[in-house]
Amino acid sequence: MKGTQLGELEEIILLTVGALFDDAYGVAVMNEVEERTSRKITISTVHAALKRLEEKGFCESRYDGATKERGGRRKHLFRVTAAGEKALADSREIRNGLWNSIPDIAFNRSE
Amino acid sequence: MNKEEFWIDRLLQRFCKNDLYEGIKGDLYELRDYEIAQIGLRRANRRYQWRAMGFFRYTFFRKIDQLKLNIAMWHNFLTITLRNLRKHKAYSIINVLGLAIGMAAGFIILQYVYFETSYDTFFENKENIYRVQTNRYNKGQLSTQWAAGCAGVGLHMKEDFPEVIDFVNMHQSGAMISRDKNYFQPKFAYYAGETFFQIFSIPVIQGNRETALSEPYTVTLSESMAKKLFGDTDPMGQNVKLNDNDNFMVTAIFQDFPEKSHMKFDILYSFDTYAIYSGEESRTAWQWDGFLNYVVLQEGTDVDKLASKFPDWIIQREGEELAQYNAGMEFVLQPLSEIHLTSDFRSEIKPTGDKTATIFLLIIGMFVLIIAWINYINLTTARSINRAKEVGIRKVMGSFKSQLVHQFLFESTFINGLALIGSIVFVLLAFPYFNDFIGRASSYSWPNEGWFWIGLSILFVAGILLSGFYPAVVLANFKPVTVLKGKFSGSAKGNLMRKGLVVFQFLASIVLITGTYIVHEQLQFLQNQDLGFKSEQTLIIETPSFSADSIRQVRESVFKNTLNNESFVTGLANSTAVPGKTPGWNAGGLRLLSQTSEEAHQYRVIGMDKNFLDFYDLEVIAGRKFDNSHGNEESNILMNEAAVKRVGFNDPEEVLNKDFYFWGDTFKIVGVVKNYRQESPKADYDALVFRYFDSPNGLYSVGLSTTNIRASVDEIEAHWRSAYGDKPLEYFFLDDYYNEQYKGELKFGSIFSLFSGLAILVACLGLFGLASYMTNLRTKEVGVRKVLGASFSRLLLLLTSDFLKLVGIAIVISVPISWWVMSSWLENYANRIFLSPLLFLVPALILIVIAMATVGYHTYHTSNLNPAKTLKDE
Repeated sequence: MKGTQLGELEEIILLTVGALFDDAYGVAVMNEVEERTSRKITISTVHAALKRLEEKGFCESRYDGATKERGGRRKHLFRVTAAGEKALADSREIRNGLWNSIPDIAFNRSE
Repeated sequence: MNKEEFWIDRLLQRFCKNDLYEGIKGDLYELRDYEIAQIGLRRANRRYQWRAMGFFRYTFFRKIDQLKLNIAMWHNFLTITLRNLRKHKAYSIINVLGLAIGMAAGFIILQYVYFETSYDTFFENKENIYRVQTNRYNKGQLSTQWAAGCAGVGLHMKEDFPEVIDFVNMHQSGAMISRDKNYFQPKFAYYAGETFFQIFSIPVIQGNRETALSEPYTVTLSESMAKKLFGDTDPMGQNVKLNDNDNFMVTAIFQDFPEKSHMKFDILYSFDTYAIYSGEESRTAWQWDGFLNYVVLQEGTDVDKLASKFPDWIIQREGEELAQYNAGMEFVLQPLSEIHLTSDFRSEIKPTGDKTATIFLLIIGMFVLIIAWINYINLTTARSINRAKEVGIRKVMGSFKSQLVHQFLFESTFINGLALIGSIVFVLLAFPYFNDFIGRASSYSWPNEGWFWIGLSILFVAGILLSGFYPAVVLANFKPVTVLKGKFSGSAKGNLMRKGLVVFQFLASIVLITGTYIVHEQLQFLQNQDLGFKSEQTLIIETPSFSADSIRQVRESVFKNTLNNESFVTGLANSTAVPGKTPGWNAGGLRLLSQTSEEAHQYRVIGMDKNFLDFYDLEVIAGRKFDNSHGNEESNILMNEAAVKRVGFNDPEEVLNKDFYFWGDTFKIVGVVKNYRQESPKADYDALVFRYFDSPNGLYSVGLSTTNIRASVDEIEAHWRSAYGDKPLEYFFLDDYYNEQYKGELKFGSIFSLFSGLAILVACLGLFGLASYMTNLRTKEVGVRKVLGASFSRLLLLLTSDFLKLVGIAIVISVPISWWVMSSWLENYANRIFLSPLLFLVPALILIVIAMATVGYHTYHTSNLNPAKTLKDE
C-alpha cells in the first residue's frame, strides 16, 4: 500500500523516536541520528520526516516542556504509535526473513 | 542578547502551518544557542538563517485549508462586482470604455515619446561623443547655424585641448556612384575621416574597422547599398566608380544605421580622397562650412568648463580674420544622444525630431490617462450612495474596514483589468495606422527594452491603485447607523473633491481644444501665405553631375531643346536652387564697392538662367530682369528687397546700377526682385543675391501642362536617356518639395488634434455618466417642482447651473494657461498669427455647448417624466 510504506530515512527516524522515548523532538532526533549513523542531516529534513510519519499515523505529537534555551518555546515531542510499532515490526520481519533465506554459502564464498 | 528577531522568522511564521511553527522555531533557537558558544554569535546567526531557509518546503506550507476563508471572500467580491457591472450597464460601459481609450492613447503616446527620446543610445561611449555645431555671426547678428560647420574645428580642438582625445570630420558628397554602368545618385554619401569606425560603434560586417578609411580612394558601403551595387557577389576589394571617373576600392561593409539614429550613411569615402580633390585646406580651414565634426572627450570631462574656453580660443586662432569682416563664430558641443531632439540646423544628415512637439504629446497623453482615471473616481464616488446600504450591512455583519477597502480595490482592479484588455485590443488595431499616420518606417517594432515595459507596468499599477484607492476609502468609511437609517446623502467634502476633479477635466479639455484650434489656425495661416511665386505642376530635375566640359554643354543643349519642343512643356528654367530650401550657396563679405569691408554682409546666392524669373512669376520692382538684349549678363546681378535692406537702402531704386563687390569681382546691380518665400513661410525673408549663368549646375525646373503627369515624366526620361545616356534621372515635384517643410507641422497638427479629440471624448463620456447620475438623484425634486408649475427652461437652468459654474471656473483658469503655452509654441515661427481673444472665446463656447448638450440631454429626459410616476412610490 502506498503511503504506509516506510522509507529508509523514515525508518531510522522512527526508530530513533522510539529510542528517545518521551524526549523525542527535532534537535534530539537530529543529534541521535547523526551520532548513530555518523551521517549529516539537517534539522528541516528531520522535521519534514517527522511530519510525514505523523501524517501516516506512525507517530503522534504534543507540545510540552518550555525551557529557557528555547527562548521559552515548548518542545514538539513525538511518540511512536501502535501503527508505527507495527510498521517497524513488519519491516524488521521482512528483513529477518530475507536474512534467513540467504544460504550460508553466499556470504562464505571467500573461505 | 539572544532576543534578536530575524526577518526570516517573520517570513517563516507566515509560511508555516501555525501548529508546526513553535516547534520549528524552538529547535532553530536551541541549535543557535548551542552554536553561539562554539563558533561565535555571528557565524551562529548566519547558520541559523541558512537552516531556517531549509524549512521553506512544500511539507510545511500552510495549505489551502487556512486560506479557504479568503477564497470565499474573494469569490464573494467577484460575484458582487459582476452583479454591479451587469446591473448598471451604462455606467459600466462608460467606465470601461473611457479607461480603455485612455490607456490605449496613453500607451501609444508613451511608446512614441520613448522612441523619440531614445535616439543614438545604442552607440558605445555615447556619453563622451559630441558633435561640434557652428554658429556664424555677421555684425554681431546670428546669421547661420550649421549642423555641419567649420572644416578644421575637430582637428584643432584635438590639438589644443587635452580633454579632446579624438575627432572625425565628414563632408557630404553629391557624386554619382556606379558599377558596370549601374548608376546611383546616393542621398547619404559622405567623406569620413579614418577614425569614423573607431568612434562610432556601428557593426562592421566585413573588413577592418581600424584601417577601412585610412587610404585615399577607398570606400565603405552599408549592407543595403552593397546589395544594390553588387547583388550577391562579394564586394570586398572590388571597385566602384565615382562620377564615372575615379575608381574606389571597397574596404568594408557596415551594418545599415538603425532608424533610431540621427545618422544615416549609405556610402563613406575616405576623407583623404576629399583632401586630394579639394586641397589639404579642407582639413584645417576655419572659414569653410559644411563639415560634420564629432569629437570624443576624455571620460569625466566637465563639458561646460571646456565650452567656456571656446570664445577665447576662437579669438586666439581666428580673431584677426574674423575682425576683418566684422564676423563672429561660436561652437556648441551637442551630446550625441540629444542631437535628434534638440538640433535642427543647416545640413543635418536627415530630418531631426521636434522636442516641443514631443513634450506636447507627452502632456496630452498623460492628460488622456488622467482624465480617464478621474472619470472612474467621479463615477464611483458619485454612485457610492447606491453602495452605501451594502457597506452598512457588511459592517453590521462584522466586516472589517480593511476588508471593505480590499473589496472596492478589487472592484477597481477588475474594471481596470477589463479596460486594459480593451486597450490592448485598441492598440493592436490602431498601431499600424498610427505608424502610418506619423510616417514611421515600416521596420519599426515594439520597444524591446525591458525597462520601458517595467515603467509602463508601474505607471498602470499606480494609476489603478490611485484611482481605486480614493473611492474605496470613501465607501469603506460609511457609518452603518446613518446609512441604514436612510439619511445618507453624500458628504460635502466628497462633493468638493468631485467638483475639483470635474473642474480639472474641463480645464484639461478646454486647454486642449484651444491648443488644437490655435495649432490649426497657425498651420492654415502658413499654408495660405502668398508665397510670391508659382509652384503648380512643376517638375524639378537634378542636373547630371559631370565635370563642366564642352561635351556636357552640347548634351545639355540637346536635352533642353528637345524638352522645349514638347507640347506638354510650358517652360524650362535652370538654376542652382529652387524655392523650398535655403539656397546652399552662402556667401559672406559681400558689399557695395563704395562701402568699407566693415559694412560687408552675408547673402544667400542663387545662380539662374534667363528664364528663371519668368518661370516662377517673380516680379521685378525696379530695374530689369536678366535678358538676351544685354551683352555680358555674367557681370550683372539682381537682388531681392531683403537684400536691398541689408545693403543699407530702403528704396530699391537707389541700389540700381551700383557696383557690388563679390569675392574679388565687381558686379553691377541691374534689378530688384520682389520678396518671395524662397525658404519657407515660417521664417522671415532672407537676403538673396541672384547671379547669371548660361546653364548653372543644379536643377532644371520644368513646367508641365498636361494632366497625365506620368506619361510626361516617361517622355522626359526618354529624352534624358538620349542626351545623357545611363545617368540616372533624379526628379521631384516642386509642391511636394516645398510642402516637405510643413510635413513635421502637419503631422504634429494631426496627432495633436487626434489625441485632443480622444481626451475630449473621454472627458465627455465621464461628464455624460456623471450628469446622468446627478439628474437621476433629483428625479423626485423635479417631479415636485413640475407639479408646482415649474417650466422646462427653469428646470434646465436649475439642473445645468451646477455644471455651468464648474465650466465657468475652468474657462477662467484655462485662459492664462493656454495663452502661455500657445504663445511659447508660436515663438518657433517668425511668421505667426496674432493671439486674438477670439481664439480663446471659440473653444470656451464649444466647451459650454458640449457641457450643455450632455447635461441638457439628461435634464430633458428627467423633466419629461410624468410626475405621477416619479412620485408614486414612497
